[in-house]
Amino acid sequence: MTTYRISNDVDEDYWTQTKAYRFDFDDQTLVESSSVVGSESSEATIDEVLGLSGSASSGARVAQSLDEGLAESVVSAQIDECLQHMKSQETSVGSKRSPQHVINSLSKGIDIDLHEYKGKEDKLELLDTALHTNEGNAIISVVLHLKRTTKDSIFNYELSRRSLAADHYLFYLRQNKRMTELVDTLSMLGRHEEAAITAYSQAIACRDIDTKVHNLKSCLRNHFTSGGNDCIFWNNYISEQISLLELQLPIESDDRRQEREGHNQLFTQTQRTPLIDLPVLSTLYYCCLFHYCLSENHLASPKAICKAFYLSDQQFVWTALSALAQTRQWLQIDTLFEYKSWLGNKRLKCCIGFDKVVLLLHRNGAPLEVLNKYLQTIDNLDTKFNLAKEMKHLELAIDQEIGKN
Amino acid sequence: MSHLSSGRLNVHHMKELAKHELLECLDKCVGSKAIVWDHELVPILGLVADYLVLKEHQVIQMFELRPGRLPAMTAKHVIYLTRTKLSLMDTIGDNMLNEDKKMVSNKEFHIIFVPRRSILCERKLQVLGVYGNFSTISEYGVELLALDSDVLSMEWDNSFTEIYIDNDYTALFHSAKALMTLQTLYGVIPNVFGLGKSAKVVFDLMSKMRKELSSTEPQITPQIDELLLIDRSVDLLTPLMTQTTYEGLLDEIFGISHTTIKVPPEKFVHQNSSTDGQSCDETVEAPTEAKQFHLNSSEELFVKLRDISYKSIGPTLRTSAKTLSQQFDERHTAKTVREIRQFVDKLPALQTARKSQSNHTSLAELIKEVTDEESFYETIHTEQSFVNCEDTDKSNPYIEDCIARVDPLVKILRLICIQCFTNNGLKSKVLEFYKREVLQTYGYQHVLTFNNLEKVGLIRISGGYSHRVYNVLRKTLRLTVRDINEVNPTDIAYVHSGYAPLSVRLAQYLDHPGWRAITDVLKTLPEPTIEETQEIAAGLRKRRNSGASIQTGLLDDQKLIVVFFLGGCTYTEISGLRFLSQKEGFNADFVIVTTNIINGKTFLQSLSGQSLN
Repeated sequence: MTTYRISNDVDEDYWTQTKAYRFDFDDQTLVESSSVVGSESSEATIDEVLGLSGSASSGARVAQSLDEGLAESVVSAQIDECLQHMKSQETSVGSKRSPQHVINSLSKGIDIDLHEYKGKEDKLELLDTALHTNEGNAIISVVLHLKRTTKDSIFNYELSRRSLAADHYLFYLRQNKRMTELVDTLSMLGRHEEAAITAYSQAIACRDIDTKVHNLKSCLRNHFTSGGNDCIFWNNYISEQISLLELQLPIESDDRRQEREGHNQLFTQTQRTPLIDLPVLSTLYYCCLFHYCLSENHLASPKAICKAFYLSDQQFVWTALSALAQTRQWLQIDTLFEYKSWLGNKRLKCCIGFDKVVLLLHRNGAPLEVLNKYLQTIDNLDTKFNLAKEMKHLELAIDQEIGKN
Repeated sequence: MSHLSSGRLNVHHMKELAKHELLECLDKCVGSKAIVWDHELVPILGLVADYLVLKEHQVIQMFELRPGRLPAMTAKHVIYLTRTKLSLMDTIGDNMLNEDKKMVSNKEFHIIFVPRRSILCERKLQVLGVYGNFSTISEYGVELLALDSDVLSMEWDNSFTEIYIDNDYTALFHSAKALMTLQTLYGVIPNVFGLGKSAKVVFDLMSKMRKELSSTEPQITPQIDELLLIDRSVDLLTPLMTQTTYEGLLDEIFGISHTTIKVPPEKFVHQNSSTDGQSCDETVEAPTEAKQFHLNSSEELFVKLRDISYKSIGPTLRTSAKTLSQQFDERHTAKTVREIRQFVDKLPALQTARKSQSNHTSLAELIKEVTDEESFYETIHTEQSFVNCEDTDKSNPYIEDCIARVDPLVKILRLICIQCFTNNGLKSKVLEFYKREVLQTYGYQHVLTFNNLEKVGLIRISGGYSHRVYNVLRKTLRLTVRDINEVNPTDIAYVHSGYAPLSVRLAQYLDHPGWRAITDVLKTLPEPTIEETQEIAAGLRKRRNSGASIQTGLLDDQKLIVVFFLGGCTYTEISGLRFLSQKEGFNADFVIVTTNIINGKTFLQSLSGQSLN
């Protein structure tokens, strides 16, 4: 066994000193290391290197040998000795640390290798101890150890019997964004609704619309067609969402082209926002703004959208009214409310009440004649008066008062 | 911060303890230090120690944790102060990997995790390959922060969501630890009451911790008589209601975070220019940055204003303005040198009082802008009709109008949840209608929002058998009070303009006539109910004056009750408890401890997990 001599000069001092030295490979010199703080961290490093959970005495011994020199063979001799000591410790059952002790250390945040818990019973005992303390750090360390070292079927079975451990494991997967595993584990545990919702949240997080639609479709197929009443309830809405996205894509591309070409006056007059991923009513509003006059056969016709998504008359009238008011198409608004009475006369009727109509038009700066026309249709004199007052049309208000008396 | 010592419980000790521990952590590294702060921790630790104190402990530079390269620093030690979030580990890893090799060898790196080390985070650092760069990794476990002389908070955001949606009980574990710290400083609390699942979990954890520490317990006479643990899920209604106290409204409108509030600065410019006596021609540049205030009981005017209803803000400000101007006018009446000297001595205090007056007047104006709006009135009116069980079973026209107008979704969800709660669940037709309207107006992604709200029980379908539970609760506990006088209130219901927070009522009934009188009602609330005692040595038990009668109401006979809200509490609940303790015939004082402070917006926002605007 030859001793590796670093330098003859520093020999004597070197071997009698207890300072810690670190060999800097860049400069090929020994640098005094002040960062080897205490035996704790060196113990940790040795642990990682040797892959053994060191007991205090052997750790200290190895640390001491570090102090005394980086002589390669000296260290290797020490390591051999350590290994043998460890192995002997391993086989004797009595020296295995108690589950409680391990859990306490894990709770304090000290990372301990759990390799000595080999048997299934031991591991489960450790897990149950951890669960008893309700300690996040400990539970998740043990669960991960279990996952690494047991067969999947056994892991799944034991996890499904311990809901607290399952909760912690699921939380861990969620934090680490391991979503496919999360969904699979949820399905395995029989939590189909949660799996469905998680898969759905993953699907809608996609930026690219085509992938989004694809993911939504597969999500719908896999999770929402079966698996509890709630899933079936959301099924409709998710299918609607898919249909909406599929509807928005062609309209958006076509409109963008038209906007670029600049022929269509509507696009130059009003600011156009991208249609993709807007909610249904906003889509309706958009189509009322830019595609109001299209026939029902056309994809982008407001009427077609109402039909496809089962929107009510009120929703249509209110949205169309807002859009038309914004673009100041007063004549079109008339056609919203007109209908032919059985005598053949043109009458005005509105399902949401003309008081709301008048206020909305006023807010959008409608001319007086238009406001007056709708104001007259309101039967209730008090409402008429209050509205007129609110809109600060004093002549109208005074007329109403006179009319009342 | 001497205002912290002014309460029954000297919470200044808690702050000192927290400061001491922080400095101890920092002092482990000898030499000059630079601290890299996690952005969220800055205001929290600002409640513990300020920069001057840190400077005394050789902190020469402070930086914010940002990805990319670390700025140049001259300190010998670089200390990261961070929470245990994995995304922050990524940022730290990024910092370390971008570091110049030469710089690294001069400095030592350390991490201090707040509040505890996490194996997950350390493993993440190992995976990133930077774990070995750190010389020490430690933890700074500050559990409770003193927000005010009677309010302690863990400032644990999203605690309710973590407990009830993620099933993560870490917040409860820390609550138990916080209680242990509290008991170390102020003595073991002999009587414990609690409501709800979280309360039981915390009590069990606390008992276990006590057993482990039984030999090292401090032998001091307990200052606290009772502990009331309230699980948020027992009273889900109160956070949803619009708060109508001064502090509550400030929180609702602008958001108070760690006792700091940021407001638009326009109203505050004029005050400066007029008091400085500058000419009006001089244009003062409009400040673009939001104005920031600290709101705590060190400001006398704020103490007067914080708990009152919005209707009495005006009169209170007027009175205090009059008193202030009277005090200023004293200088005219001062004749002798001594009187003038007395006035001059009072001058600094008067000037801060004047600044405070002008600030709060501007804040009150900002509040008035909101409370004068029609929508505010309509919302309050709708809430009141719901809590009085009027028309709760049909779809509400005001809610429909708000959806049609595309009002902020959080407002609509609050109203729907209140209706659901007061109607003990909604008919499936009504609920489907609401869901449909919301999904169509705000987007289908709110499937997730509804799912979370259902998970917590805020939205549910009415089952036939429990259809009058809320009404019974309301009548027995007098949750609604008609014709409440908000300017001179006689009952805690003024905090929500006619609705008394359920949690505060339960605290009120605990003292008198006791929970035994309302066991039927308690059964309808989420189980379990706890009434336990903790063993303490006989010699330490508080001796009450056996001779004095109850009527004399000596201050020492006032019980001190700690109310611990698990999952968050609102400013109105704090105001309600303060009002209770001042009420005649009620002989208890309260100290409020909470996991965090919430309001309807933050509560629902955290539950839904998505943007609700």
